[in-house]
Amino acid sequence: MANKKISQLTAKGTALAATDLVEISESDGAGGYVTKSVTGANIKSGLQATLVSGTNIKTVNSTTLLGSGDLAVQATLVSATNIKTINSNTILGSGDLVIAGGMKVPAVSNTIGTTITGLTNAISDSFLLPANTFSSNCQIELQWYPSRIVGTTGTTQGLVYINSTNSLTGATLVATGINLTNSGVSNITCRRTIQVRSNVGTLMSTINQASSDFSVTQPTENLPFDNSVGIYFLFVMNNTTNVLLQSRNVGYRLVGYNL
Amino acid sequence: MSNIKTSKGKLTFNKTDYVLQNFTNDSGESVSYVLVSDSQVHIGTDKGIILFDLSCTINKETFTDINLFTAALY
Repeated sequence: MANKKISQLTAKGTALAATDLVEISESDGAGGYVTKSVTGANIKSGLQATLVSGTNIKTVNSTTLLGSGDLAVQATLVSATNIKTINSNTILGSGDLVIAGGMKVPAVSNTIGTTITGLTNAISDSFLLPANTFSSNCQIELQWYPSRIVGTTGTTQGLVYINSTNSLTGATLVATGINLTNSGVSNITCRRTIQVRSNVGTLMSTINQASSDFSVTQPTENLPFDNSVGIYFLFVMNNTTNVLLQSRNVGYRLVGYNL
Repeated sequence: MSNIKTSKGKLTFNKTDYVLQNFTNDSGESVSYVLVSDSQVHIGTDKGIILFDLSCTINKETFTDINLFTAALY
């Protein structure tokens, strides 16, 4: 091998075997080199093993990373560039995004309530507003639909109470609907807006008869309305002066906004 | 049966205190209560108008007449 260029040597023609010897110059650390040999096994032990997808190289969503070409990945999200904003606020980053506004509709019903017969004040229908549906500061709009179905004389009203249980005893009066005095069948849409500040509601006088609060009335300003606990809304029919009266509530809707 | 406990211008029901207050009825009069039916009454309080009925006792006493029931509250 003396005086021969490496290109003049006989080619091995096969892959490096573990027992093959290769000449190397090992640094002595002082600027010189010492000629030594290493085996094919020595060389292979320092090389990375052949990559096998799923064995020593991970996959992406079960797709191999091996091979040529680009792996299609989503571009880095840049607020307002390739991901929209909400009211000019970025939605990138960690943590909770608090949506202060927005309408909630926790209760809508077209159910025909229990028919209330005779001189009484009784629950025709009800629903539970779950705890924490609204915050301690919110605005609520309530509609309900009292119906007088039998009776040629006397009056009937659709009232609304709230309570911690589905019971009238100890319930707080929220609204008194207008008198239904027509003989035969008659319906009315009633409406109230409740402004809740620090768990106390302000609304039109709860005892005054009215279909809606669009007209000028004195307010009620001490309605307890603690949304941290569940609140039952009770739709009550009050029949007066005619034992033959029959009435019922035939639907309701409650919408609200956290403020 | 739920009990109403009365005490000097206030009452306690279901662990809640209510201060008795007048309210303006539908005729514009200042009243302390309004009878709703033969067994129910609306009571004015600092926490709104509360409905009580003869299913309640007052200081553990049972009533069958809504007028006597109401009188016992005041």
